[in-house]
Amino acid sequence: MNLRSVFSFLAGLAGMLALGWLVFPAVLYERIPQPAQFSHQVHTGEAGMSCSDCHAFRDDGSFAGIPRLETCLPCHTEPAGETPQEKHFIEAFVTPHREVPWLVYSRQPDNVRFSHARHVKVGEMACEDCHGAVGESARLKDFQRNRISGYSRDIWGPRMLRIGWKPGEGMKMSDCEDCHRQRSVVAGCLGCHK
Amino acid sequence: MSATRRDLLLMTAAGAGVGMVFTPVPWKLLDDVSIWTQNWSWLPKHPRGEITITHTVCPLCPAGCGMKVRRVNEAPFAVSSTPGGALCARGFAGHQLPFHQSRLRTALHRGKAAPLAEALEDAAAAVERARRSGAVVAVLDQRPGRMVSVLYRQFLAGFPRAQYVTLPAPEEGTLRAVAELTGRPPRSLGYDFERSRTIFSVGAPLLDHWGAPGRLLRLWGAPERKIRFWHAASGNSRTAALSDRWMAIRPDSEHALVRGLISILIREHGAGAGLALPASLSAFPPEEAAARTGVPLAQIQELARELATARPAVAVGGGDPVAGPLPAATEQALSVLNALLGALGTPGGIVERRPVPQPTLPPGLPAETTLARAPARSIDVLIVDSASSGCAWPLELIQDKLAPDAVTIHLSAFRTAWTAQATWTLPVPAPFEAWEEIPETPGSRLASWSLAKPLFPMPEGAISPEAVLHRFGLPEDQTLDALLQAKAAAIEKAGRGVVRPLAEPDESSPVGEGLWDQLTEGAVWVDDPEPAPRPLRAAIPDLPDLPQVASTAQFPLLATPAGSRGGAGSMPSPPLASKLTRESHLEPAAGEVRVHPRTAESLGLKHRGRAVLATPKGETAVVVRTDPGMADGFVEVAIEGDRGAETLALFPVSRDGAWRWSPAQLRRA
Repeated sequence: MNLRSVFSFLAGLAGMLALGWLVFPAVLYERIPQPAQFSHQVHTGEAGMSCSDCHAFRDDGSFAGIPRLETCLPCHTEPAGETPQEKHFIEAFVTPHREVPWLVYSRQPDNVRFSHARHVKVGEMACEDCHGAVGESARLKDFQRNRISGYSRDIWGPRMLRIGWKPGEGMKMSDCEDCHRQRSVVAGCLGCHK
Repeated sequence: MSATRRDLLLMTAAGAGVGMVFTPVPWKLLDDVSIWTQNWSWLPKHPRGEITITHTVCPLCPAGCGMKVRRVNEAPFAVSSTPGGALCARGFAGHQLPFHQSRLRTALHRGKAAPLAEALEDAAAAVERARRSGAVVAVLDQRPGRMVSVLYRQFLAGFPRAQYVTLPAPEEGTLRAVAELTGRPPRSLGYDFERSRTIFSVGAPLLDHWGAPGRLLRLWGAPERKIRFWHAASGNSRTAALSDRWMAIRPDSEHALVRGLISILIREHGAGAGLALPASLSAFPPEEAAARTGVPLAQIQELARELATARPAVAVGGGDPVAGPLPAATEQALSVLNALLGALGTPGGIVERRPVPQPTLPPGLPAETTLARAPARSIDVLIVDSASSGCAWPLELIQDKLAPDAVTIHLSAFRTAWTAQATWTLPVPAPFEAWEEIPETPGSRLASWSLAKPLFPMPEGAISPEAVLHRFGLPEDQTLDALLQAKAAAIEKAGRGVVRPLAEPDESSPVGEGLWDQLTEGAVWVDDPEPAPRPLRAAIPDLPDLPQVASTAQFPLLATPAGSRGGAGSMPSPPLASKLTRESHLEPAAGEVRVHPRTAESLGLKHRGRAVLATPKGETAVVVRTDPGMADGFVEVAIEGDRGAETLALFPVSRDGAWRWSPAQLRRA
């Protein structure tokens, strides 16, 4: 084998590594901006709100999920600040009274059911344990939709190989299983799957 | 040698191939593509929507277990048990049944699709011809005791010759024998296990598929349990594994074991001192029981000692959802054993179940007879009710009762081995598509009553059994709804029992007005227990000896069918339940047999090897699994799924309606 062959091999290797690590993730995920912008940082910081002020539990214990427009209205019928994002939010959604079609980063597939009440109230888990530091974000990142599976990138997590995975970085079934194993909580197949 | 351009391209491709392994591309693509295949647009999905909870009872079998159903946009998507309850694998997945591939969307005429209106008209004409000619019309009811059962009997009262035939729950085999011994009506007795100290099961899968799942497991798993479980059976099972003692008896030696115990109890423990006992009972040599069962005499004596001293003790036989009842002679021996143990009408034994208050019924309704006791070739027109007992029954049991050229009308929501034999099959609502009444659980000591709610609308093209009866001539003013409401009124009038909401069973309240509304909203009526059980007096009969099924040179082994409730009955198994239980080998898989490794070796068979199972009635291809927990010379044949009925047909049905054992041959395929 001569030097040209070795060089060709290394070129192929390097090219594929670049393709796999740089180009592939960029191509695999389609970036979709959220329909409106929102700063968790402002709401949980300056406004002094907590997660459950908007992501509340209903009286029957079930989780209400993403807040509906009516949750925003008491404060945002008129602009509370001067940002163009808030102006867009009021013009596009509040004034016409149209629900915001939020793109949910953590939406699970249809064959999964998940009880927030059981995890937060009974299991005493913090929102950050699964959702990461969303509450500190100054703006909503683009929703990254997997072009093949249709899932949100947040289900897989930011690390392509998931090496060095930390709680709050992804919500795959194996992440749920790991957590259940660590806490010795048995759920069985039908505990989470419809 | 210098490298050509082709060589360089090959090296580049090789480098790229090696590099790809170290990128996320193959691994992520594999994951995403597999997810993509699970989300094809044509796969049915629940629409997203409001999630609600419905509490009801499971209609799949007579156990009527409480269910908590999660629904999205009214469609059920997940089922779990109610607080303090338990569900079997099929109950967990039962809401999938309306979508089963064998679901009938049309009527069938001799197994072929036919328009419902046409089939209904032809079937009604056949019934009318039978009425005019005085032919025998029968209804086969697998779940007697319901108000629709009363409706069937009212329908049959309009015929000059009619039979109301039932397939009683196998759990009640010993109870039926005790009822006969004590002159009590059928289905009037129950087991008071909660107050027992020793429970001896003879082939009864008490900790597997017996009665309501959870009742006995709860007793078994109670902290500081005082009840001891003895189990006598030839094959390893969950009941065998969980029992305190498992007597691995030889195949078809149950009768000898019970006779031996009776003999020892009389001879060594003075059992039945106040009873007039035939001398033959104590004359049975215990040594013969030991020889026939293959169990050391000392172990049989130990069991007898425990039954005699650790009272209340009760013996339970049969009750297998697939292997069916024990022979009548063995059940009779078990009823005598219970009498000797003082278990008849005493706490912790077999006690009378107070009859449920019933509406006043018109006179002249045909009496109930079991299918096994119906005269051979006596039925000209047979209507088979759709409700499943969850148990497998050989088709031969029915076919023997049919006259030549008999007409069979099957009310079924599914295409099954039974419907393939029927003259007409009329598609009725599947489970969870119509209100279903659940009388007391087989074997329970307390009467109860509940209603299973429909979770889906009845589809177009289906017809209710009540509408079929009206089309066949039942007067229109006789309705199921009127009977159900009258029963609720009768219970209210009696003022007996409590109403337990399924959502909160501890919040029970005494029966008062509004029972009907409480039941339809999701509650169970449970009768009050008798303050003190009434002793049941029995005249102890002489017991005939029961010859064991003989193996022959051609059929040297003994085979028994095995399976789970709902595995191969008149209803298919929900897909998820099949996947979970069969693929995981939690239950025997279709087409498999289990034998002891020694038996397999002597026949030149290997674990997972292919073989042919033959009995005097035919043969079928099987896969062998070896299990050291099986008795040598014993073959346990899985009866599951679509092939179940075909495999069960290999077992001959005795005159008393038992099919538990057959001589068999197993040879390499």
